[in-house]
Amino acid sequence: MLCLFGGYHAQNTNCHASLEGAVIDEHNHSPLEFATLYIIELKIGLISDSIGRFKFENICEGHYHIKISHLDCEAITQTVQISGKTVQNFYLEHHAHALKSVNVLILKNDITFTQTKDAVSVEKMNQSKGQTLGETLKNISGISSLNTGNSVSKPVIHGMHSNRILILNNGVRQEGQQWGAEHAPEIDPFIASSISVVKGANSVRYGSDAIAGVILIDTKKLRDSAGINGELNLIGMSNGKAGTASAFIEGNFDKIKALSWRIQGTLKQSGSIHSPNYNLANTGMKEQNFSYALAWKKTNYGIDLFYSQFNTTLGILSASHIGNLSDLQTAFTASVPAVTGNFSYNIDRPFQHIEHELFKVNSFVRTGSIGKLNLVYARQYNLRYEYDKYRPLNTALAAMNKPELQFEITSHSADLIWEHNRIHQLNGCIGISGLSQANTYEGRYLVPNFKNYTAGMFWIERWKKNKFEIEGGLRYDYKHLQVFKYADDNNIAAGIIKPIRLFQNISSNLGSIYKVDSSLLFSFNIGTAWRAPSVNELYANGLHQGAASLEYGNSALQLEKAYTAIFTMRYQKQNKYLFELTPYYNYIQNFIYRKPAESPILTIRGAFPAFYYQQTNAILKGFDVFAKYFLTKSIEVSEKASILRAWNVNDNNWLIMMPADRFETELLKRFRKKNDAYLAASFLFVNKQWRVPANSDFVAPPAQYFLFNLQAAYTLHIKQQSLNIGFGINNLFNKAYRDYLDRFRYYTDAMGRNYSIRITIPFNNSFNKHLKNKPNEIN
Amino acid sequence: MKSINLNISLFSLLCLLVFIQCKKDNNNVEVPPTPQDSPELLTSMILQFKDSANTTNSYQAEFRDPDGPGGKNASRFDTIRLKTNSTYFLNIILLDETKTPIDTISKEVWNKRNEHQLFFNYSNINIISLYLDKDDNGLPLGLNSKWRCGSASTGSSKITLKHQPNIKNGNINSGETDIELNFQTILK
Repeated sequence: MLCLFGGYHAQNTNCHASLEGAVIDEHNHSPLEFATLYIIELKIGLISDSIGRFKFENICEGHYHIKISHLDCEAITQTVQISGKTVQNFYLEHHAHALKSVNVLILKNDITFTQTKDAVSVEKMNQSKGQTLGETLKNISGISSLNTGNSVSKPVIHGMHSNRILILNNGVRQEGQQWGAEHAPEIDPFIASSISVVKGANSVRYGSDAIAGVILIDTKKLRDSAGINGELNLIGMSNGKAGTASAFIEGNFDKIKALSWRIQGTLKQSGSIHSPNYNLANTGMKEQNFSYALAWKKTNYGIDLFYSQFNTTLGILSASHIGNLSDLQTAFTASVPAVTGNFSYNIDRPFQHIEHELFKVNSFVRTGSIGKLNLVYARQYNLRYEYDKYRPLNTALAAMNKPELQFEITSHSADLIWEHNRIHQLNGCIGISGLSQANTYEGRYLVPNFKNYTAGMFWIERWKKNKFEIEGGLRYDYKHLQVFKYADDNNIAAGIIKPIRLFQNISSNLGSIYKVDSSLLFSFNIGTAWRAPSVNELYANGLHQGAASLEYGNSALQLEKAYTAIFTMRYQKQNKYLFELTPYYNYIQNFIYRKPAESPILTIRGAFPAFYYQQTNAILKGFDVFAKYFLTKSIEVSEKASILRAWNVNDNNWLIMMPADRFETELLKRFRKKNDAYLAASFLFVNKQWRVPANSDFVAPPAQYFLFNLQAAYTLHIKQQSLNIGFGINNLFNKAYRDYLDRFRYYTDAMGRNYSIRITIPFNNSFNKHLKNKPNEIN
Repeated sequence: MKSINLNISLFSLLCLLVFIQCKKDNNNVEVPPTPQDSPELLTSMILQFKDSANTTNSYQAEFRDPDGPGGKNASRFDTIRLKTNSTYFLNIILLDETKTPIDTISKEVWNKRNEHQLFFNYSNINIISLYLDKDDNGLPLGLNSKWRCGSASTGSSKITLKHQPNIKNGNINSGETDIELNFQTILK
């Protein structure tokens, strides 16, 4: 049901983690006996004893969904991170009106049931600590990334990125300058307890433009048993001499059970990284992020606040700053970039500075026995400064040291959703959502000032009977985009024009799941989605210096419409094998892309290739594979493959900038007796992308490459304290390579060998009286 | 009890955090910034030739793209027409025509002469040039030069402005290209 793909856990005598605690009545704090606890992933359950206690033993560390039910109470499903000796109490709410079988939807995204949700496994989440969100997501088959060097990494789902995917950060659509290929998502991966992807059009629930899929960044549920716990993460990396420290601390009061809180923060700094043969000058970065959460939760209502701030300063590779096409040719033919420099933490021009702020209020009210009303309001503010390589020549202007390009965008969004409890076999929700945005720029023109308003409404119903589930949804969206620009940039007296573009359409989704038995599952989804052209596609105009090209928007662009089908087959047997195949087919009408002009355009810097935003019909089809086979009880071999074919129907040609075929094989050996230790060796093969239209790029796509990586982890127990230590070597053989989807491939090789060490120190301090009074009886 | 105190103190810290003011965009969406506020932009190059034999006899060739790269295409790209067997003094003026009044960038280039150099490359045309100006380190700059024209020919003169901060060494291959214009040239 919950498709924790990759996160494959087992109850095993070789695993030594445990989960213990008590099931307690939320209101009178009395222990609940005969409560059923069921770990969904492991399919194991037990019943609490006469004083409400329970203990699961010999389970592997990981992230689990636990369903707790009791005759007199509403069942709850809760996610629990089990590492070492985990203590967690569960509070059940007496709910007189509730139907006994009602399953409260704790995770809102459970609504999108019939579509496969692939989560980054706990192991891979740990291995990716200290890396960007984009790199973390690449652990899921079918996901690649569009990079600008090492620090800017944008997720790509089935060949689509930027405005064609939606990132749901803690339940809120991430809104920034996501249209830009060098604008990475402004999210600290450490806020996430789970990162997952719903592949395929998923517009109905989340908003019209999720053509390729949705990325869900979910934060850990706030503590609901009294006490304080937290975690400290320390990560060091050899390449770039990078250090990351991230910690959270959270608590819940014994006396005021309804109140929970959390504070979290991350500091990260990296110096310039190096490729196998040279230093990459000015690739350092630093990041400071923090967030807090506060929640007040009662049986029939609750409210929570979330605030997060993301601040980063990223150096842009010196060698990537070029004046014209001849410079680009020189850079490409050079075996070593013109500027390499020595290792440094300094960040010089050119660089980017980005700030992102999210404030969210989420509240719910139970509407009697029939359902729950949820209201989410969020405000996001995004600031982006881009500094050119050189300050202005004019001394007075240079002294001001202003960014050459600045964007500020403020977004307010509100979603009101009513989820109804099961009526006969039907579960569902209905909702409305609105978004208001204002964007301004300073400095060089790239995209204009604009105001954007969108409104949408949707309705989803899911019908479930025995082995079969079917889900249908409909959504309508309306978008109003008004741009403010000068009619003639050289004659301000001609005045400001305020063109308005209106877009509206319907999205729909129909999906089904058929579970043949516990080991075989089929799911099939078809849907339509649409996307309004983004502001750069409509109004870009000018020289894109980083890309050595002239870009021309097209204000007459029409909306893009996708018809998609995605199928998943999963066949698995615990501790034996897992096979998942996901073929997909997307037909996109009026697909917006950058079409190269036939002849270059002359500027004072020489001739530049020009690109015009055009529309075509496109087919993006392919399949993802994930397979895992247990050679022995402790040795696993797994394979991930992502294959995509992207075709421009009107031009009868390939589409540009599509990920090449990618295969990753991993061999993993577990040492279960030794504190959940493992050793993994992986081998990545990325083919050359030869499926490109001719004469559409400055240079041919780079060659295929192979990379070897090693990962190991170990849990130390010192008295009551556990300590997780991880060690990794990426690009073990220090191979020089370039990736087709890395914009710096014109200038340099990618990152060389990188050793990393990760230490996680969790701590838990429960002071619940039920446990405290009888500490010895737990064992 | 200790942990309860900790809980309370951390919770109070959090309450303080709640009052951190949200950041605001102070710009007016409805009034976009003018080109006046945009960064320096090279849009135009004016070549002022003076006959060394008779300095009142002058000739001007221009490249002008008043709105810079992108937008409208260049409005003017002259052919350089000079007399055979004569010598000209060339003064180069660089402009940013997006600004009001027009900004003369060649002044800034002169001020930053230690990090710039103009290069002249001729093909199929009988011209030899000499630098008449130098930076503080004695390396040529090229805002002022002398062109010696030979026999009648038709070809092109490529004028390149390089930005070479701290790496200026008289080599056209170092640094970044700020200007690269290939003027059609006729000697008659």
